[in-house]
Order: sequence, then structure tokens, then C-alpha cells
Amino acid sequence: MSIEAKPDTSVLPIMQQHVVSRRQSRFDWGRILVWLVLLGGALLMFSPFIWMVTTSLKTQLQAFQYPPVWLPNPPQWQNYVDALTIKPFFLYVRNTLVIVVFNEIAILATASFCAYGFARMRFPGRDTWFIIVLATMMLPGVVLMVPSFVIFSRLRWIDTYLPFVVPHFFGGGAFYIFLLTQFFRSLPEELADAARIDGCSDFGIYSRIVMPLSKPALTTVAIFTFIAGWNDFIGPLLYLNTPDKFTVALGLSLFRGGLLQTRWDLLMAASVVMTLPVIVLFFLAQRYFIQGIVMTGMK
Amino acid sequence: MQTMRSLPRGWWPRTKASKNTVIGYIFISPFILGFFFWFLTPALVSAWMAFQDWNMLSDPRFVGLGNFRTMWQNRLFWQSLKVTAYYTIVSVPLGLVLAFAVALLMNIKVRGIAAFRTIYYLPVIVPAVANAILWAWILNTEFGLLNVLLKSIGLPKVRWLVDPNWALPALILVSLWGIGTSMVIYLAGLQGIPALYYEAADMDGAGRWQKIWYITIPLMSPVIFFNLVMGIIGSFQVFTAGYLITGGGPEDATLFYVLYLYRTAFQYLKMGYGAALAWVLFAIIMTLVLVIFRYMGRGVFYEGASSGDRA
Amino acid sequence: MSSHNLSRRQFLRLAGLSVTATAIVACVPPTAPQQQAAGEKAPVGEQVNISFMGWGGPGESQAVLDMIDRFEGENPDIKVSWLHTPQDYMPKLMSMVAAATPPDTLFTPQDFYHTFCRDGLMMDIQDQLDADPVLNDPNYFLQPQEDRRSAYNGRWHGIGVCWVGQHMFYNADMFVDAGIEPPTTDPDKAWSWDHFLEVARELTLDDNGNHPYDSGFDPDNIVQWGVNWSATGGHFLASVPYMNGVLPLNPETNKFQYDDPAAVDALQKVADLTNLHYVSPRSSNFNDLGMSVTQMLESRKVAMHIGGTYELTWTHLIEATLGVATPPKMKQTGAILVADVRGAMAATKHPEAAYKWVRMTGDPVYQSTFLKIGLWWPNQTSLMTPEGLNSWIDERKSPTEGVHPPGYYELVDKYVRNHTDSWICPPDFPEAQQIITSSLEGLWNGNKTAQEAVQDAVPAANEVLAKGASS
Repeated sequence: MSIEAKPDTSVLPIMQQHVVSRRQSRFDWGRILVWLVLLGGALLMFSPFIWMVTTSLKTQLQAFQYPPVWLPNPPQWQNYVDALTIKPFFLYVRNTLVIVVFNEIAILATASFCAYGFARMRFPGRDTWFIIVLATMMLPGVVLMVPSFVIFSRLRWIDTYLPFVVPHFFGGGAFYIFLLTQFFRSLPEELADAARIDGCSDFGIYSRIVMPLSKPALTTVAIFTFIAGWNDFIGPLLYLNTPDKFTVALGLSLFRGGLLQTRWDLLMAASVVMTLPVIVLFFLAQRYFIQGIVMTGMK
Repeated sequence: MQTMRSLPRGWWPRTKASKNTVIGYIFISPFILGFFFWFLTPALVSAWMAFQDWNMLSDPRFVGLGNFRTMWQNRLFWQSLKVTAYYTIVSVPLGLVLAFAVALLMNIKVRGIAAFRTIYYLPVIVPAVANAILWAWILNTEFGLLNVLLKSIGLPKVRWLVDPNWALPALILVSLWGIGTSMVIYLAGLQGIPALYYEAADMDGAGRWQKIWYITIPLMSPVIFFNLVMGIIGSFQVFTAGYLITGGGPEDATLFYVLYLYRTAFQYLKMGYGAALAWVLFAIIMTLVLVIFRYMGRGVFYEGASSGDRA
Repeated sequence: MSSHNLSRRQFLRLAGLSVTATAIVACVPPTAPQQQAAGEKAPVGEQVNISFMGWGGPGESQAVLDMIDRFEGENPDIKVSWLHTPQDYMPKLMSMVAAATPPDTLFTPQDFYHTFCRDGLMMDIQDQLDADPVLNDPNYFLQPQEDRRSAYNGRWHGIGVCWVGQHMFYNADMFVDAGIEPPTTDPDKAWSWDHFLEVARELTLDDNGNHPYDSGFDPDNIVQWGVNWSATGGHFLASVPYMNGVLPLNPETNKFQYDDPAAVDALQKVADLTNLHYVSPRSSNFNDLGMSVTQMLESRKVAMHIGGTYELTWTHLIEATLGVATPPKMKQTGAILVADVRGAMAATKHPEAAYKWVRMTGDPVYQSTFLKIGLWWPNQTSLMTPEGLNSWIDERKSPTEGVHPPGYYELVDKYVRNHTDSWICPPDFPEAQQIITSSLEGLWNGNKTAQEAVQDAVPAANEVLAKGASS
């Protein structure tokens, strides 16, 4: 019995050909329809971003003009320069990257570790602890704000990055643990059994079988972690006092001044810049969204 | 779940079952530790706060069940529960189904699919305040894009954010732009289904819908389950849209529970009452999730599940 | 299964509980800050660091930093660190207070100020003010507005930073084209309500050119409104009863007076502008974004706009001739003024440095910066003497230069000085106010009459205030 632990891409072209030849007559219509539906939805989904971009190129006054100006003339490229220099955005980016990198390592490692325990191991109390994992998401964070602040204050972690980095080393949060648990559970157990027969320890199964097969899931977690860290606003707002330590999300909010003093033009420009790395990351991560395993000859 | 027949004394586990226990707990130990340090203490403090009358500026005053009594009699408490429940009941299934359908589409190898996926995920990463301003404008009664569109096809304009009957549906509509997250999760799940199964179904002459119903959905059930549970937990705690777009209005028609909580804690400075509200919400969500686990947990098919392993 | 040894699970649970118990004991919220502060004051004469917490956009933030530079130049032994908190101000402040690490000095929103005073959060500065050669002049600040705002039980715990309030903006070109005499900045010549309504109807058109008094008028297709008046909350709402001679809140009885017949009448009049006469667009958060109304003025969607002082900061940029005027009168014209208070926390370890800094924020130079750009109105009479007014009002001659349209001098000199009063915010005001604004949404939407909207809401709100005063 041979097990393909990596995608057997040699099989794919044959399969696709097979599918194509069977459906030649209806094939083009289906594809076109799919494409049109996707396009329609994409236009809808794209509009918030487009609005952000066009507003970022307007003057403050033009931002809320009705009928709306779709192509501001002349486009205020200066907004981008201003937005990035009024406040030291490159410093904020650097700060945020530091935090995010730590978070990525912490969460990818510990969340998957915990998820493996919940997904593949059996031990008394496991289900109870799993419910506890979920329970931590059910208490509105608003009410934990003040007590958490007091704790971090006693630990003297105020005005440091520790409050929003260290906790992620303890499983990274219920969301990711729950997510990875579900993914790990859907992997066939035969693989693990076979490995165990070969003398593999649980840790070995975790690191050599489960993790490599979970690329799409782990990529998802990596993307979400990046976005969460990049956009995290309330943590830095509460805990950071020194402006030089601010993160990107916090820097963005400095353009706010109540509904009436906010510099919407600069805010949109900065927002566009802030979302670009995330978009690029998401786009590049697509290639990890590939089929995990193709089993050939499994009995 | 295996029952323990004997628990050894001393540290060294002698039976396989107890070895499993130790190793199992080692695996989940990061969470357990984190739970004690970062969650349990603040949570217990907040539980203590629920029995106090405390405005954070002066000393707390013990009031026993007073906060809960106030809650029971407070019109806004019931209103916010109603609003949040309505929102959950409509937006969760809607979002779930829509995200699934979109994910299926996203899984087709069409040219430029990576770009499409990115675009569908985009609204999730647009900053919340930008999104809020945009939607406040689109839904504006006099000048908003949506009413302009309605007018152009001959329909009367709707007082979206101004009429108490339409404000919540409007926010539910807005929430549909946020399906990107669940879509991505579904997509990752779809990748985990071996093509082998579809191939076999093709051989048996299965049509597209049959494949979806008999292969995709069952194999995706852990992921669907995840999105369902997370959807419920999340939508009961919806906050931003109410806070930024409608301010809870008109006439409290979009007063989400957590918005009411936030106001109570940080504007009315009633932290004790706020804590009580939080724990009541916790109880409600927990009950619902436990019910779901009990009745649907069994229906979730794990490819890797063997007998004796439960959801 | 019973074992007289602790199972591992039970042991873990116990350990966890004891850790937690210790943690809880360590984390029980401290007693009221001022009790800790006693006896912890730092010795005088050393380098002192104080913090200043506040909000504001980039412009205001920069102005604060500039003022800090000036202050530190004049007081080399004091360093001020600016805790700029543009959003979620209350959560951060409350967290810091709960952790016994509050800022030394801070912005205090006017609607929270008296609540903070009641609970001993703000430092009493009455004695310092009485000893101050400049500020102890009873007429240094605009009265009686300033006493209403800054005094708690007769003693000041902070200094108001400025005033802002409502007045009218209008597109002068539209009046010229329609051949209508525009409104004036002289409060004695303020329009009667009927005249105002007449003008508004004249300036409201549907897409067929019909006015509201024409038979073919189509309220669903209005392209131009005579006025935009959004009184949903804040000082706009408070000003409505004031214009009919009733204070929104009676400081002696500590009760809202929105249910006074004159107040109800006033509210109904304003709501009718939208729902009955169709001369005002439906208010919404979007309109209240301010900038959108500026656009509406410029693009001739709206002829008149009841807006706040601060809107001048960008409204003066419109490519049309901007005019300013007093609002029309019901029994009187007027505005309820509002602005936040700068103060020191009672728990500060550096009360003298903190007072010096708080006093600085009341400095005329600082206030002038924002008066000039059209953001604020002064609360200091020194800036309202003829010399003072001319120092910051430029009464521009054309739309492309300067900030203040013609007539602004008179607006401040007469209208602001004599026809305004302060917002009154007793302890627990925010919760009480929310009850009323939520209920009034029904009025603005046309679902309720003014009487219905205030009927239950006002007593409920007053109950909250009554509890707040006694606790």
C-alpha cells in the first residue's frame, strides 16, 4: 500500500482532460455563466475598495460630493505623500511587522499544537476543555478590557508590545484552535495509524504528517493572523502611550477627530496604503491553496 | 471517549491510556496555561463585577442580584436582545449559504481565479470606518446610491437607516459583504477533499448537484460546522456596524447587545451592570452552542473519525 | 472511582484555582483614587513629568504639541507627554483610572465632567484660580456660561477650552438669484419663524420647479431644499427649546424640560420643517458628517444650513459666496454652547505642575489659533473686546481669502455674547440624554409627534438624573 503524502499532480491533467472530453458540448456555456456571475459579484465586492481609492484622491471637500465624483480631477496624489509623512507611517509599519512576525510564529506553532491534541488525541476531559476553548469566545471582550488592563498594568507591561504578543504564545486564541481542530479532524486517520505502526510518536505524526497535509488550513490561519495583527487597533490604543511605538492601525486613527475634524482624504489615502500589503499577501498565498492529498491505490 | 480504568500513582504513566492522557494534555497545555493567565483572571474579575454597582470612579458597592433585576426590568435590555437575535437568525444562515456558494465558485479553475478570490475577500480588510462611511452614504435616503438605483427602476425609495423597520435589514445586507472570511475557510476545506471522490462519482454518472450534495457537503461538514458555530458566536456579538453606521438607532432599532453593553460600561459608567450583561450573553451563547453540539455534532462526518470519537 | 490521592486533573484544577485566587486578590480594583493620592505628592523643585490625555484630529494634535513646546520653554522643570487618543477615549481613560495610573491632566467631555467631579476624579482648582491675578477676575470668562460649565457645587475643577454652538450658514448667491433678502447676523433683526418658513419654502424646489405651496409639488423628488436643520442631538437639540425660551435642563431642579409645552412646540416646529413643509432634507448620520452639507451648500442643494461653529473650518472653502447669520427666532434666537473642559486629576502626584499646565490650556494664544481657523468661539472676554475680536476675525472680502465671512464680528459680539447659554450636564447625564435622543428619533422620522416623543422619555431621563445626583 503506497501512500502519496504530497499532491499527485501527474494525475490532474488526465482527470481534467477526462472531464473536458465528456462535457465538450455544455462546457463553454457553463464556464461563461460562472465567469459572469463571478464578475457581477466581484464588482459589488470591489466597490468599497474603489470608493476608498477614489476618495483618497479627492480634496477634503470633494469627498462627500453628491452626485459622487468617480474620477477626481485633478487627482490629489499629494494626499498620499501627506498621509505618509504627517505621521511617521514607515515607522508604524516597521513596528507592526515586528508584532505580526512574532504573532505568526506563536500562533502557527501553538494553535496547531493544541489543535492536534483536540483533534487526534483521546483523553479524559478533552471535550470539556474543548468547550472551554469555545467558551473563551463567548464573553464579550468589552468587559474584559478593564480587568485585563489592570493585570497588564501590575505586570508593568503598559507601553510595551507584550500585551498583544505574549498571550498569542498560549494557543493564539480559540478561533484558530477551533479552526485547525476541525481541519485536522477531517484528515483520514489511516495515515496516522500507518505512521504509528512504523513507530512514529504523536509529536512525529503532528510534525511530519498532519502539518504538511494542512497547507490550506495553515495558510488560512497565517493570512488571518497577519490581518488581525495588521488591523489590530484597540490593543495598541489601550496599551501604547509613546507615539514612536504606534502601529499602523493606530496611526491611521490619528487622522480621526470625531466625525467633523477627521481628515477623510488623508485617512482614505493611508487606508489604501495600509491594505495593499494585505492584498499582496493574500494574492501570493493563493498558491498554497492547493489540494492537500491525492490518494492512489488506498484500500 | 474512553473511560479510565485506573489512574496510576506517581508521575510515570504506566498504561497506554494514561500515557495518552499525559501526552494529550501536553499538547493542549499552551491553551490551558494561557486560559489561566489571560482569560480566567479577567473573567472572574468581571464575574465579581456583575454583582457590584461600580462606575470605576469610586468604590464598588455590593448589590447582589441587583444588576440582574435591573436587567430584567430594563426595556433596552430586551430590545437589544430582540435586535441581536433577529440579526443572528437572518444573517447567519444567509451568510453561511452565500459564502458556501461563492466558495464553490471560487474553487473552479477559471482564469484569474486568484484575482477573484482576492476581490471577494477585499471588503473584509477595508478599514471598518471607511466601510461604515461608505455604507452610510449608499443607504442615505435622499442621496444614497441604493435609492437612486431603486428609483431608476421605478421602485419607491426606502428610508433605509431612518425607518426603524428597515434599519436592521439594511445592516444585514451590509453584513453580506463580510462573507470573505467564511468563504476563505470553506475554500481551504474544499481543497482538502480528494479529487478521487469526484472522479469516482463521475464514473458512476453523477451530476454536478449530486456531487455537491453527496460528496462536497458531507466531507465539508466539519468546516460548515465551524462556520455555523463561529457565525453564531460572532453575530451575537456584532458591534461595529451599529456603533459606526446607525449609532443603535433609529429608535433603538439597531441597538445590538454588545453596543448596549459598551454604552452602559463606557458612557453611562455602569461597569457592574455591564459585566452582568456580558455574563448573561455568555450564558445565552453557551446554551445555544451546547445545543448545536448535541444535536448536530453527531451529524458531522469526520473522515478521520473512528468509533468512539465524538464531535 | 475514588482515589485518596489527587488525580492529576484534580490537582491541576486546584493549582489553577489558587493561582487565580491570588491573582484576583492582587487585581481587585483599588479604592477611589483620591485616597491613594494623599501623602504621595512628589517633592517640589525636581524634574516633573506629567501626562496630558486627549483626542482631536491631526490639526488639533499638532497645536497641542506646539503649546507643549511653549510651555516647556517657559517651565524647564516640567515635561508634558501628550497621550493622543483619537478614539475609544473613555475605555482607555477608565482602564487607566481602574489601574490607578490615570493621566495627570486631560480633556474631559462636557457631558461627563460633572459626573467626574461628583466622584472626586477632578482636582479642585478653585483656590488656585482665586489666587491667580488674571483668572480671578469674575468677568474673565464669558458668564454666566462658564460658571454653569466649569463649576461643580460652586467650585471649579477645570477650565473650559472654548465655546461652540449653532448658527446659520447660507449660500448668498442663491439669495441674490432668487431676489430674496438674506438673513442677518444681528440678533435683534433675527427672522420670525413665519418669515423663515416662507423663505425656506420659496427656496425649495422639486424636479419640476414646483415649490411646496404649489399643487403639483412632489416631495419624493426634491432637488433643492430651503434649509438643512438637523437637531437630533448634542447642542443642536439643546438649542431648540432654548429658542422658545426654555432651558433644555433646569439647573435648579435638575430636570430636563423637553416636556415643557414651549419646548414641545419648538421641537414640533423643527421637525415639521422636514415632515410637514418639506423644506429640510431628512436628517441622518450622513448629513451630520458636516462636510456633506458643505457640499450641499456649494452645489445649491441647500440654501440655508443650521450648523455648528466648527463647520466654518471647511465651509469657508466652498466655491460660492458664503454668508453667516443668526438662526431664526421662535420666542428668541439663540444657541446652547458646548465644549469640553481641561482639568487635572485629583490623583495626580504633581498637582502644582498639573495646575500650571491646565492654566496654560486656557491661554489666549492657544485659543486664538483655533479661533482664527474658524473652529471655535472664545470663552475668554479678552478675545471679545473690540481689540480682541479684531485680532482673530478677518471679515474677509472675498471667498478665496481668509476665513470669516462678513458679519461674523457682529455674530460673535452680539449673538454669542448675549443670546447664548451653556449646556448643562449634571452627573449621569449621558445615560439620561440617550433616553431622550432615542425617543426623539421617532419625531424626526415623522413617526411620532413631539408630545408623544417626550411623554415617557423625559420622566425616565429625569429619574436617571435624580439617581445620579444622590449617589
